[in-house]
Amino acid sequence: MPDKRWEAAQQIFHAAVGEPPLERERILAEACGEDIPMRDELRSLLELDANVAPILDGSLSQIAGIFEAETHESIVQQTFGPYCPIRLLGEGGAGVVFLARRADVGSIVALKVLRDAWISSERRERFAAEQKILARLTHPLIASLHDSGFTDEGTPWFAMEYVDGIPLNQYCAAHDCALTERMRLFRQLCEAVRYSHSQAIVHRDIKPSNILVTPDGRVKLLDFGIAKQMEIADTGSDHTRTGFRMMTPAYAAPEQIRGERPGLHTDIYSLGVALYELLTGQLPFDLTQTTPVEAFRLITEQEPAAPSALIRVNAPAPLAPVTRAEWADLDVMCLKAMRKDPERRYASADALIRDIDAFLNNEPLMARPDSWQYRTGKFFRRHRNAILGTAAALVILASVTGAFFWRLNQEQQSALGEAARAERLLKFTLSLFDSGGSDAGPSKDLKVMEILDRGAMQTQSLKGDPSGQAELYTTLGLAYQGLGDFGKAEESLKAALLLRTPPFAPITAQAAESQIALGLVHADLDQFEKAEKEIRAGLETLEKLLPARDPAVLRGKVGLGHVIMERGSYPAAVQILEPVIRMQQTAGSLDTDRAKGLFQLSSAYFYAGDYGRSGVYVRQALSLDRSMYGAVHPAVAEDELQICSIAMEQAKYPEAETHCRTGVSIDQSWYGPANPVTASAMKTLAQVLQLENKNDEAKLLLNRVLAIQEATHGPVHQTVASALNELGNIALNLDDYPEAERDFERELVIDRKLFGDRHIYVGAALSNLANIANKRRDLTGAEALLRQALEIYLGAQGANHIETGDVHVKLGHVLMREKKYSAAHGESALGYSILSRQTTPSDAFVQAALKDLTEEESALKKGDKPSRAMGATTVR
Amino acid sequence: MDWLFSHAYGELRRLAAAVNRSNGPRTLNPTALVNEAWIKMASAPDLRFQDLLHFKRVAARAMRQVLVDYARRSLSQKRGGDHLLLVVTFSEEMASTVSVGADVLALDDALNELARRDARQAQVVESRFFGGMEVSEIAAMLQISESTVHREWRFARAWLSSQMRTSLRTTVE
Repeated sequence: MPDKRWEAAQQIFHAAVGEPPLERERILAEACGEDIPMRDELRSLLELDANVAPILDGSLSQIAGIFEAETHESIVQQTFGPYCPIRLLGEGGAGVVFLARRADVGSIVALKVLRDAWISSERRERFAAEQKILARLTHPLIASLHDSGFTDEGTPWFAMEYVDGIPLNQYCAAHDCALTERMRLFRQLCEAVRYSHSQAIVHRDIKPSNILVTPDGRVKLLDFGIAKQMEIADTGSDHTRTGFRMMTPAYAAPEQIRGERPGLHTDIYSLGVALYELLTGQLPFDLTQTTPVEAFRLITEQEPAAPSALIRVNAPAPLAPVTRAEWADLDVMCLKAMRKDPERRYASADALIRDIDAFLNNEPLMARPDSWQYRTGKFFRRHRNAILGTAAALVILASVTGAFFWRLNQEQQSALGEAARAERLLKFTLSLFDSGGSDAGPSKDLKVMEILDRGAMQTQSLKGDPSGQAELYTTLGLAYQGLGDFGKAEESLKAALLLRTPPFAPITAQAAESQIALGLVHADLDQFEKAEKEIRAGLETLEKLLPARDPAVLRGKVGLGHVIMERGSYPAAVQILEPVIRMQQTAGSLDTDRAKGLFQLSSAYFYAGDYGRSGVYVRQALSLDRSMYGAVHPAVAEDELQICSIAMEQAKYPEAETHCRTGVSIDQSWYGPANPVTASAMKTLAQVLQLENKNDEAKLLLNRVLAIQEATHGPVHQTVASALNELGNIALNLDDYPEAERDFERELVIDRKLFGDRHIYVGAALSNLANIANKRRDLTGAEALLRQALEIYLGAQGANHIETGDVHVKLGHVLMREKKYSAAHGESALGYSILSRQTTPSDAFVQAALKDLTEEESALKKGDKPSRAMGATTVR
Repeated sequence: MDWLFSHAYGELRRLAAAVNRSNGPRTLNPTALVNEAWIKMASAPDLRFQDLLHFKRVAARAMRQVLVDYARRSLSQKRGGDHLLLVVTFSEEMASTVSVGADVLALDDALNELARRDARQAQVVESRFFGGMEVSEIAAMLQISESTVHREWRFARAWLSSQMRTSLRTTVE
């Protein structure tokens, strides 16, 4: 019925409804008039209204309940080979289990029928072959698989030994089993697994519902190999394929989730989870509240809480009397079986059994508790933003792509095929990285870029899951950032942020983290004001949503510290970072985060002039990074270069040179010789060499650096200014004043453009130009420049900063040469007092100040008071 | 809306699957599922009351989709001539020889037809039937009076039944 008629029809309907039939007819006749179709239709509607409307009057749960019954009913009508179902025993994710009888012999079996699966004829042979293998498993602790087959339409079924028992966890709860009893049962389970592994059969789906215990206390392991059989089964093309049919996520090993081949080690992991549950009554990861992407991250990266830690909170009574020492051993056993890295798990069920026996006999375990080295080993691959995070990011990228098995339907599965291929390629690339970096170089960077770009394209096409897409975009963004392509990084991270902030939805922690990541890239692009705003905004959100010690909040603060430092406020950065570092130590942050934080804090102290503390923190970062990544890695290079810079400031030049050369060589082999990161390292080396008066080598290096930085960033960039600064200093040392002046002036122009007139770099450039003026004996000019510089330093660093002190000393020296002795004395004395408090007596500027002071004092004593005639400086 | 839907949908599917896998009661109680999904999503701190109804409306749609999926799957299992058609009755007066799965699909189609004529009315049906919302909630959400909700439901019920009867008849034959 069209619109107006629709409205009219309803009105008439309501007028007539509820009236007795005769009255209804009258109303209809009156209202519809000549419109017979309308009258007929309304009449039938009114009739329907009076009757029962089957579905609509029912409740939905009735319907849904019927769905279930239907399926089962339909199955019970069938026969499966020689087996006839009798009644329903239970249900699992894969299918239904019936009690069944074998028609010819009368024996009782458990009949498992897989739902939503059928096997195409091509696959049936494989299925049958697999069945033969499984039938070989005969063991008292394993429920035998008698038979399997498929219906005419291809629905697979399995006839297994019927076990009268209850699941392991329920059994232990019902019988109040003490620890020893639980361990004995668990040992039986391990025996079953050991046996089947000896037959080269992996279970793949060990979980408590598959572990039954008979009334006489015997363990029976069910469903052996069915997971593999299911994989062989083809689920067909018009079904939505939901991956979690294939495995139970809560028990699945990280490698299973990543889509890799399960192996013996996979069963070991599941044994670990089973033990975990036996001991604590809980699963190691609570996945009920998570999205697949989050669950994926939890399982593959998050270390579970030690069972003993959980028990302290709520111990089931029978386990309470267990001693601390025993818990320590149990923790070791459990967590070792559950290592993310399969290589670090128990190598076999046998090894696990040995430890169980040792435990039960009160002997020391063979498994050694892991030091933090192993725990944070090569499988935690998040790297710092500032350096090549690509290797890690690629692993994550591939892994996250794998997670899409969970939610995509068939069309997108083919995209996944692409992803799987990409993953193999990535793994190959990564293995090259792993070999110690000797093969690293520009050509590999190219490959990586290709992969990233391909990843970017794939991500675009995977539109079904906005949160997974956002995850991928984030990973891509970080990888691009690591490779120095900040433009693409910005694009990707923007895309991620957009996906994570849908309109009208509350802002999430993830979106806030995206905001912060984007801010950090903006910092890389030198857009510092924007960066700081974004990071502060993101941090504010995080602090609202998460506890103060949450690693994400701490990470955000480290990011903020970084940007604040880049803007030149070092004391503020220290204030933010110090507490963060302390919290990261205790709050269980990842080692990658801790190393990042430590490095950041070290930098802040460095620029704030506290070289002692700076050195302490960077060395901690170095040892963390070395243990995580090995000796040849950009993170290690950064640490070495920082140590070098600190040593430089402390005038320990040979030490500085050694560390610097290490850093440069790592960067060269990792990034290649023409990469801006390498250039920046080379610049530092040049600085050191210069201080050692190895000026020729320094000059060579610097010119190369300057060329690289200009080519990469254009003529107006911090790194270019920095290189010019160094070149100027060398020229100065070589008494090439025109050259020096040229370099410093160029530097000054760039710094002013980038940072405005109040930044310390501008101050440094002015100070350098003053040096030249000084050497040229243009003392008035030098004085003017130094006063400008001093103003800047006072504003930016504060009155008591080392660098401010340096400028006082310089100014004092110039004034002295101008014979403005009392003004000079004021400056030199001030400078000296600032410096002597913060640095060693052998410091060059301290020495100079002392010398000047002596000269000034003797001049003043002599009664020379030209300062009265000349302008006097205000002594602060 | 899209965001909410995909989240609600994902949530309900997950819950539905969880119900399937558990060893407990095997019936899918959609109202309970919608409530559970709501509780989970409401744990985001900034959700205000306005969004609750909005969410329920979205969840109703999602629930409908879940059941339609379910129905499709259960229907497609009956391939070949092997299976018996089940006789399902809700009440003595009504006997149908078609499975409930077909019913749900027919309802889905009919509801789409209804939406073509009167989107709001379809909304009322969806919210009430699939979302388990109270009349007062529906009235508040759609900014209409409760009596309007009653009337629209009543008419729609008759009309949908008529539609379904036609389409089911065609299927069986």
